[in-house]
Amino acid sequence: MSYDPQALAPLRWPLSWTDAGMLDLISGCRINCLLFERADEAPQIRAAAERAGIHVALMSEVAAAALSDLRWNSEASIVAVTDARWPGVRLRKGERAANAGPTGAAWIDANGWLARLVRAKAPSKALWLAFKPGDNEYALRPNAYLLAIAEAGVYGARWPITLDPGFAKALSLRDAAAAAHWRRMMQTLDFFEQRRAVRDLPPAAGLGAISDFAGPNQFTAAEFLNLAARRNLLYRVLDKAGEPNLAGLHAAIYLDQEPAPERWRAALQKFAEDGGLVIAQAVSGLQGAKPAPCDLPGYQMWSAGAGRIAIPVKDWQDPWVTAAETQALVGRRRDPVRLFNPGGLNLYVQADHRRMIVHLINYALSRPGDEKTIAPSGRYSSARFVTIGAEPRPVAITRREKVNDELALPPFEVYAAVELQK
Amino acid sequence: MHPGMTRREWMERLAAVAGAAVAPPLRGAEAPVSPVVVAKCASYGAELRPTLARMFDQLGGLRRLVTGKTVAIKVNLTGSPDQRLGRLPNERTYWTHPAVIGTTIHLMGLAGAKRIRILESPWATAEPLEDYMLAANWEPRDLANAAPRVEFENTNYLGRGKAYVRMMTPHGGHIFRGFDLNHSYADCDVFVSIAKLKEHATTGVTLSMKNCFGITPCTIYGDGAGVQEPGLVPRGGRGPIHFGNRQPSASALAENDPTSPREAGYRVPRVVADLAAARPIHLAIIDGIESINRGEGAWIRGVSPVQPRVLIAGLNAVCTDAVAMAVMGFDPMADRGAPPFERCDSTLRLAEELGVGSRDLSRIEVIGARVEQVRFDFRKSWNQAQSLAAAGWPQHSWSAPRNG
Repeated sequence: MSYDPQALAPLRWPLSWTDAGMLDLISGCRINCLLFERADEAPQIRAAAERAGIHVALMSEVAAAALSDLRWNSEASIVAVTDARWPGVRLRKGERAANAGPTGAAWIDANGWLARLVRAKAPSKALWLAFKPGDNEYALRPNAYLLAIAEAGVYGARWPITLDPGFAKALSLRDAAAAAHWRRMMQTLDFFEQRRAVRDLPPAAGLGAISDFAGPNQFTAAEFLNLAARRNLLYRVLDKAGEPNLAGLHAAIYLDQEPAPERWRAALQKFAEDGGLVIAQAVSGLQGAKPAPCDLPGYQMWSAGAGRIAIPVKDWQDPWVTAAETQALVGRRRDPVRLFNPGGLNLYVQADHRRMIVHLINYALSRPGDEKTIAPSGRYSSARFVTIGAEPRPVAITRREKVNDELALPPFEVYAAVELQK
Repeated sequence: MHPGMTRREWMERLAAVAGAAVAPPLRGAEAPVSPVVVAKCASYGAELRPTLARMFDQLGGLRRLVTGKTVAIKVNLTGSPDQRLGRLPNERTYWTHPAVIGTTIHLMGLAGAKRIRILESPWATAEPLEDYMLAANWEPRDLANAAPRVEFENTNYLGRGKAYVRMMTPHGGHIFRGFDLNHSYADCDVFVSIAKLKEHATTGVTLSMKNCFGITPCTIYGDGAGVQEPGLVPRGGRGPIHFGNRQPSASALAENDPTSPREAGYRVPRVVADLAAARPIHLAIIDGIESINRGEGAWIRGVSPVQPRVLIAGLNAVCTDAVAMAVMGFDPMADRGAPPFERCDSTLRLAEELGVGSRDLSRIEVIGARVEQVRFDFRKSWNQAQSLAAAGWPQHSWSAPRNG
């Protein structure tokens, strides 16, 4: 049976579901693909599913691998990344408060950076974030499944829904609470499947993050993406293997610990001379004309035409520090949007010339996303607040003189978006 | 410098000699006094400029203070720029309002200030102060354009200086004999503290002196300070000053007595008093038009917005803070155990002992509005805040710890 890999919404069939009647659970839902671990597993169920027009596959048929092992030039139409993490604010066992990260803020396990990286490396392929319950301690908390589905949906990926044994058993016993939660999961999936087209809107960012994200560069470059996202430092992922495209950016960071390929070196040099800011280690080979002032300790700034090149005095060691330094170098004036009271939220922003979509993902599962305010750059005439399980509604734009307008957002649980129109 | 002696050893020797010669603590009656101006001001709108101009005139005029001088202004931008008390911008709650800062800059420019530098040590970052303001949705250009030659400096690290500047504490100090600070605190003729009228969870009140707690660079006095030499960039907050869990970088002067209590209510008021003595405040301005009660920022449980609608200014920080305490409904002569110092010592008393100024209202001339005309009882507002919440003001209960 032929299928469109981009359209597959998968469920890993639980081993404990031996009754084909469990297929009723996905009847009328967006799930259209069942994944099995073994070829000899549940033949009756697989046959019944195929008769119902549901795609059936083995996990081994999907090109599932850790990021470092992915073969970008393979012919597989689906990329399944196995080292994605169950999203959420990290808690230690027995702790009520969230673990603090280097910033003192809560430490968030998030996959947005990973999804964006894979989509930049393999834009034509379907992306699955393949993590399972039990990968960490908060998988089974309320709303955890909703967050897992939502996070993948925001970044144009999918999570092959994978149920923990207890939840799977409760569903098979037709437990009312489990069934209600399953309905909410399907509602969340439906929400993002309906909004699938949004994935193609370009990310709003002034910073380009350049690397091959491979080999010795992978850890540092990937961690930079992860930790920059945590600071709400918005970026566009630029694959060094591709052609340079720095249009629309005002800053670029070359993350790799090796000379930039000639076409990238030339493009970055011109980008700087045209007024952009380039951040790169000395090994990149990028050079400015003469020293320029720099307030940030540990950096030598060079002027290059109308722009600047910032070079760290010592090679980067800690991606968190690199992300913080990059934010300080790039500055805040041209941030596409400011978010107040971010708490356990991550921000993802997409925009074109007439609209901006601000995605807010609440990783703090135990707390609602309340008292959030956003301040988008630019003037918008209208805005609507979109969240799962509710009709979109207008949200007032408070005009402010000389600074960004502000929008006070209603409370939400796992995910909300603000759609702004010029 | 003695041959074979490091610069640090030499500085310590020098400081020890100075410390040995200190006078005993002053009694209150000996501490200097200076008039304090109090004015009603309902909002940050049109009435702000004439009110501030009149207040400065009542203090003898800005020209006398700033003409031809370099002015350094420490503002209060505590916490993080993206953290707010509910939906209210920080300037309407616990940050000094940019209108107060900008109007002061403007009036100082008109009075002939040669250069005005806006200073703050933003939370755990070496990013430029302008960017920190932008992150709070402020427009720093408004401040930069309020007078000729306005500069900004993040003083939480070395900044634009070539070296930290050591400023010694008269009378030896309670905790520190001296501090190593960003150059901006020495490269000025006039030092101004523009504070917020608010309580403080650790020190009882946050006024013009407590505002200057933030002049200590976290590269030396912070959680992530270097052990021997200052860190390159600030990391973390000022936990070591609060709790004494470590000494500053060895390049700076250590505590006078490492066996003294490690309790924040003992240590922070003393360090604030030491700072007020080491880096004297020439002009204290307290923004009490809008503020919060119960604490210094959104991270304190139970804080609520309040509107005292008052401005206070003076040429002596202790006198100004004493009058401000009276406006807040507190007795400035109170000490540990009495409001607002239930769990801490009085910064005012400790600064008075170092000869900074008097907290005795009977000795302080109050100009403008009388204290009883503008009194806004902060403790009574703890209950009123609930009515404000019912009337649509946001009510908040964050409790994430944050030094600042």
